[in-house]
Amino acid sequence: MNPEYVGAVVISGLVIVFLGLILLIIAVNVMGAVFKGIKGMRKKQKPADPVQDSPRVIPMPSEPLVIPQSEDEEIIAVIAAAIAAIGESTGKRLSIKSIRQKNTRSSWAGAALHENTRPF
Amino acid sequence: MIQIFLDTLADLARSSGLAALQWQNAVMILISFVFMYLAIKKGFEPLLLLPIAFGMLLTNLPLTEMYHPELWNIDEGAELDFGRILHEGGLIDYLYIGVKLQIYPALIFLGIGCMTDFAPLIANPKSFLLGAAAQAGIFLTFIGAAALGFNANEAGSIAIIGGADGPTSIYVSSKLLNAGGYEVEVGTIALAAYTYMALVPLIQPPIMRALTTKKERLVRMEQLRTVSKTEKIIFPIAVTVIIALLVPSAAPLVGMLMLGNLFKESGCVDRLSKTAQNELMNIITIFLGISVGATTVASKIISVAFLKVILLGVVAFAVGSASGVLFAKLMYLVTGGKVNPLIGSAGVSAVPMAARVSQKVGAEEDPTNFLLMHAMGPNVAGVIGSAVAAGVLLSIIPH
Repeated sequence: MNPEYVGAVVISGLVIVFLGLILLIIAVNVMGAVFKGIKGMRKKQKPADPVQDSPRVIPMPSEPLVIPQSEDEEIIAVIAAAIAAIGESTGKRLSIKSIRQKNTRSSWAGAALHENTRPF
Repeated sequence: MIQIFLDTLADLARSSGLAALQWQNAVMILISFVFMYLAIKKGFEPLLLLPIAFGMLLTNLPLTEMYHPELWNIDEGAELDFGRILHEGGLIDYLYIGVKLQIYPALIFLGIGCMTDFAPLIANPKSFLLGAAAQAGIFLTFIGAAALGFNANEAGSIAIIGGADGPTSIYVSSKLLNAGGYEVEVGTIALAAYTYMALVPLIQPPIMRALTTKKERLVRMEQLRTVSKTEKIIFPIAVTVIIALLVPSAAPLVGMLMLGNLFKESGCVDRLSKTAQNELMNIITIFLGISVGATTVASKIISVAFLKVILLGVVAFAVGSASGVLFAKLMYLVTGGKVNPLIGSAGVSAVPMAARVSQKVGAEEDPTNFLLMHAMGPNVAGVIGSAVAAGVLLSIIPH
């Protein structure tokens, strides 16, 4: 084969592949920016939800327990009762100072963890 | 009476396959047993390697009349006589029509599209660059094939093995090797491609370790953003339009891949999606495997040319993986250490095995570092990249 022809195949091949995929990067970035903008506009239109945005702090026992009207109510009540029961049995006054939402593992990380631990 | 009996026995012996068996066929049958062993016992890409190996066995058993290479070997400039194939062909000749007309690889891509989640790629579009960089293996192997004396059509067919994508290899080689008289055959390309794909976990890790430092392998990447359903629906449409406009010859592969993905993401054609990724894909896999295996006749396998294909195939894989890792190292430097270079090797297709290898090598350094989802981005980008590279080869090389 003619070396010039080989060189032309290699260079044009690499350039076109990179060009094609760079065009796709631009398209996906534009798409992402548009959707980010739309999401931002929707957020602005919605009233802020203080219960969801800030960590929930439940002072006990000096102040009355304020439980947010959420699906976590029952869990918080059970944990508070369990701690109170431990306090009674040991004679110590135990209290829940605050409840904060912790950043849990994302679904992607969870999937990866599952994928890699499945054989075991 | 005894004489008639003995004559009958002699006639039977003369007309049996055993009498017509040549040593080359016997060697090929033994090789088919080795591939069956690798598929069944070692789990080397069994879904395709097993039917390929059995096709190889059937075609090398003499007088079975299931596949006729002479019907497919045509002179340059001549056209296939499908009427003759239908009249004189055997079962595998009929199935092979789907390979020769490039129907099966495109339908396999439809099924792959239904099973692929492009969300990691949409969330991190820079992964496209790694998918492109790993295709360097294809084009650099083209140089090697030319240096070893192959012509352009053969070199293109061998080079595409570096894309680590079986259906793409079959698609390109069946187009480029359409006329007869070539030293290599579609079957030999497919055999090398699927064998190396199965060997990805052995080929890639030493290259990845050699090209990266411990510090680089320990990089933890930022969590990927959530991708909305609308983005997932627009993505396959946008990719099809852009790639088909830029490289029209890549449209059959990319178009079917993206159609399958649109089936999946739209959520409105569950029946089609399930059929494409299960029943249809399984049927096509059987047809593709057995007919491609049948093309591996002795004269094409027991040859120096096949040894060169095997050698160039491993070079293509290694160069592709190394290019991906080196480009990811560049991204590591440019981003100030935010990209783990191990995900670069996943830029060769081989979904999801190449991504799993990135995860495995990363976890060897830090078991709590989960690279899998980050590696899936370059991995699915590699599928698109190899399809584009295939389109480029087909548009440049006359066939």
